[in-house]
Amino acid sequence: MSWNTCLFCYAQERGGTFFGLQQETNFGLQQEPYEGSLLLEDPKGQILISTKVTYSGRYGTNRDISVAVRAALERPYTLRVKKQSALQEGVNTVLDGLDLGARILGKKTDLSPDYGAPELADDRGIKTNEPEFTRWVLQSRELRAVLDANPSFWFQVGPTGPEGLDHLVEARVPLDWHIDIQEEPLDRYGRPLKWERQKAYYRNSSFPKQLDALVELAKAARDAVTAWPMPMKTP
Amino acid sequence: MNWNDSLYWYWRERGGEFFASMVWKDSGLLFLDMPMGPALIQCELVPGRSGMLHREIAITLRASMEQPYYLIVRRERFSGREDEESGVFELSVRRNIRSSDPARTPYLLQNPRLQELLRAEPGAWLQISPLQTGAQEHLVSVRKDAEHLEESVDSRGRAAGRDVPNQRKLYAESGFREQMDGLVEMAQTARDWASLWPRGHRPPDGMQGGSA
Repeated sequence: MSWNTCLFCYAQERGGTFFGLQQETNFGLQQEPYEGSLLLEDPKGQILISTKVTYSGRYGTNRDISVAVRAALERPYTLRVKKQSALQEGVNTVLDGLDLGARILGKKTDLSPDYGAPELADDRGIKTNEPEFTRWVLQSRELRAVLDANPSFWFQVGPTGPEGLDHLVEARVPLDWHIDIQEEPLDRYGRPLKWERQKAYYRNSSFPKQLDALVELAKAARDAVTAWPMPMKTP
Repeated sequence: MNWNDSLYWYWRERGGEFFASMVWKDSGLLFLDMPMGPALIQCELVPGRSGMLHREIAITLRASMEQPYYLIVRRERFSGREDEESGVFELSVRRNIRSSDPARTPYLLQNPRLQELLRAEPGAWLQISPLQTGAQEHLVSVRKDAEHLEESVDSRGRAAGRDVPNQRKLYAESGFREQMDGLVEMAQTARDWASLWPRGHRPPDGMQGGSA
């Protein structure tokens, strides 16, 4: 099923305002291609589900699913916790070794800080502009649980603009590889399935559970960055 | 200015819900509060005829109609042509118009404000489609190729960067606000006018705007 059809079914179950079309020709009118978005209501602020193009070239186009929420912080803060990767694990092992060597020589390098969450920092890259505050953020049990259960999920926090204290908290996962979106299901004559059968197809897929988990990650990250006052900045 | 910076300053002026960050390159989205549901403003990457992606500005609104209705008013065929005449016929000469209800479409396109907005944006096109086959919920979308959204520079060739006063100045000079206001009004007018008349009902005399 296409992203738009899956998201439309998700919107019918979870509510919210859906912006998207079925990708098909109607009455001979060729509709413009369109990636659907969904605006979900939440007591702590609206949640936006959409896709983002991450690569486009001769080998095709890659997209991420993005779940974005907003948060107000005391000053500009950036954090990116990348997805799990064996390469990152290897790089961190090398950096740990360099750190250890420097400590033996009596020098402080801090090449591979774990931000108080070594199980996260071991195989995920973590970048931030405020390490002290990030130590508090990564103590969130909910946040760690969602990240542990979903190795391909990652999230980032960043200020909305040059003025004000608004921040965007965004959870992401690659659309094509990790979310259960397949080719349009066809009947034995090669025609698209009827709507009821498409809905049954959607219900049997893992799409709703995976998207729920991504929404949970965005909410957990928002709660984690707003749970504590930001520490005084050292000059 | 780039899309996110321009949309940020537009959001500061017009309000709504803004989803973007200045530290990432992804295109931001803005939901403007409207009386009949939010308007989504975004800059989408869409595949062209050759398969290469290009960027389009899209303003999208939801509308509820009694029957499924499809309409596409494409961009003007001849750029630079200036007609004094206005009306549905002149509009159809300049633009390719296709719809699922030819009897209803002239009522929508007779709206003088909609005609005026379409004339002001020859590169924009309008599309109304049901969310799915047979649905009463529709999307009204106004689209335009995104141009001049690269980092703009001042008279000395310096980029706006993160300098707030300079960004404000460049935003004011760029015409972004006026362009977005026009596109949003076009989508809103099309939505209001298209959802006003039930299918098969002729609007009363005097309520039809413009000349046919």
